[in-house]
Amino acid sequence: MLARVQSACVQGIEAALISVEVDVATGLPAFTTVGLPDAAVRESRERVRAAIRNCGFVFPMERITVNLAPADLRKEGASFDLPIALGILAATGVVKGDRLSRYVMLGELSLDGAIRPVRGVLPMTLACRRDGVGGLLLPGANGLEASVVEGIEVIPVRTLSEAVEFLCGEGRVEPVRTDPASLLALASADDLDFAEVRGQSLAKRALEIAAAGSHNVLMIGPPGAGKTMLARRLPPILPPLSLEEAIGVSSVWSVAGLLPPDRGLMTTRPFRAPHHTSSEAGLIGGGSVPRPGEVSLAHLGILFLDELPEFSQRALEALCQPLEDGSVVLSRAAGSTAFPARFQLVGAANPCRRGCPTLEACVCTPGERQHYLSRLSRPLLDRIDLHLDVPSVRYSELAGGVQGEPSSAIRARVLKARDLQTERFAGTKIRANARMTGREVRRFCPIPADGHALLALAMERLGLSARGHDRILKVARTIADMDGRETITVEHLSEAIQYRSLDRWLQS
Amino acid sequence: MMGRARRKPGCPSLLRNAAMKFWRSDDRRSVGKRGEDAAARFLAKRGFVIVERNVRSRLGEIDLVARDRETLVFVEVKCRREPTGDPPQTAVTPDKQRRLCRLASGYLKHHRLGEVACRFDVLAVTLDARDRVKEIRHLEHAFMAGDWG
Repeated sequence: MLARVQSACVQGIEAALISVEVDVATGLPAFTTVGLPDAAVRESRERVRAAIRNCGFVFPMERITVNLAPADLRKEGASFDLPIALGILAATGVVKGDRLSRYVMLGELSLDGAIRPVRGVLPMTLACRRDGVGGLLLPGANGLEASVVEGIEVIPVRTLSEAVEFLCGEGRVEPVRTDPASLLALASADDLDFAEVRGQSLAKRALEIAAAGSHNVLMIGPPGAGKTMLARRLPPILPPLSLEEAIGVSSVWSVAGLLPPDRGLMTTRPFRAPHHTSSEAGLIGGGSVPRPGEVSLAHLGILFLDELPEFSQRALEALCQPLEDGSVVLSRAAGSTAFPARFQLVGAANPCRRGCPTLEACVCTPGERQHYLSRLSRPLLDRIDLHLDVPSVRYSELAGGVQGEPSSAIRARVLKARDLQTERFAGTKIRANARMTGREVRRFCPIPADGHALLALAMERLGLSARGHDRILKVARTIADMDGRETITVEHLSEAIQYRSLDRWLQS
Repeated sequence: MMGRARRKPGCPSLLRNAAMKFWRSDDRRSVGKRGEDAAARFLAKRGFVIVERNVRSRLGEIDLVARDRETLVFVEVKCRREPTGDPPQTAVTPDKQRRLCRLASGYLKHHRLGEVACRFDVLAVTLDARDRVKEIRHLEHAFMAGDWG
């Protein structure tokens, strides 16, 4: 007998619906899986057989053929265990009724028939909605994640027997329902506060600008000055994720299998801090079946690269393209996959290899210093809008009981500046000043009449490229927004220019 | 069937000759024959109809072809004399299973039996030191075709 069950599989960060056809016929007993399965799918035979037996059903010792259609799509992962098992039980007449055709099924089976969670449930649920499927039968642990998508009936099952009972219309399983808005509201306020950072008022100001306009930042300073401390306090002052953005971030995390099981959704902006020994593939994404890398996991959040010059040259160069495009396209012979990567880069570096406390006390030769920082190539530095000095903290600042400004106050100002930007870019895909293209820069960032001379001088002295020029204007726009001003003034412009300090350092 | 004894490279010829002598010995053959006889009697007692014994082709040999009601059963008999290390059925390796499947599909084709229910059974026969049947284990549905990937 023939049975047909619907399932889904992940392609990049999207998903496609897969039709699982199971034919049980008399003949030499055999179990074959066709339709471009990978090793994990082919191994599902053993799990399916044991699970069916251990749940007290009869595994047919007949000629079983499983076809995964469309046949030209590569199928990977263990999420086909449950649909194959249910297909076999339907073909042998154990599962009856029309519920089988109404649900898309996914889940990995363990030998005792328990259903284990799988990766990529969120994109698969979105695919169900796109293709007009009404319901989803999935592992209990994935229920919350899928229920975020509205308009899909999500049935969580824990064991194969429970799934069979439900499909036969015997058991009752309550669908999972959640209100995504309430999940978002729950977003925990991180307890990291800028008030804890002593001194560094200039750096704090620069980070506030970065948060307000989503600009990339590079902090340069001796070890122990507080670069990492500052960077970790950046996410709490960023604007909250909208539901659409949260689903975008969660999709990537879901495909990577990193979504926290107690929360179905990434409700806060991600903060990724990969170690400087990370490989190019680890940062950008890779593998013969491409998996998202750190740049994609930091999508709509922050990618913090501590000890930036210590990263491999290839990894740093590879960052340039996603920084510009906001996505990564990984091409393989089997096809190409695009992952989103609209992240905000925060880099930290020591001014020299030895990490000397001040320039005066530095024992490195000028040549060594030059060599160390020149590992950061021009194309990369060109894409970093704000370069800032984070000097060692003085004892008076450390001991003085002066509390810094709390993050909540900074965040309020950031949100105000962001509101202006939302208004400005209404109707476009742009969310923040840093994402403006050349056309928007010319439209929204008019150079003040007395600013032309300043800008011309800066370009000449700093050897800025056209991109650097545009980036200065974008930062000036953000500073003006924080000021609540409609137009950019010379003061805004000059503050923006002084954040390009590294261009100057590398020149001398 | 005896042609299956493989030459081990690097084996001194004296040793090899001794090994071949054992491999082809009447003693071994008689253990196998005893096991098959015992298996046929055992199955007949259980209501199986023995269709054929020792079906040979150029690929090898099926020990027993029997019928259990509507199902055609291909039986592999493994016989060992006590004291044995592993139980006899462990000798039905994936390689052996593959060969049996090929033999079975050849058998079905030859007899033009397309859509008939079939299965593979293994009968593990253990003999005691005086070649009397000590134990017979019947493994129904011992394996499926395609199990090896």
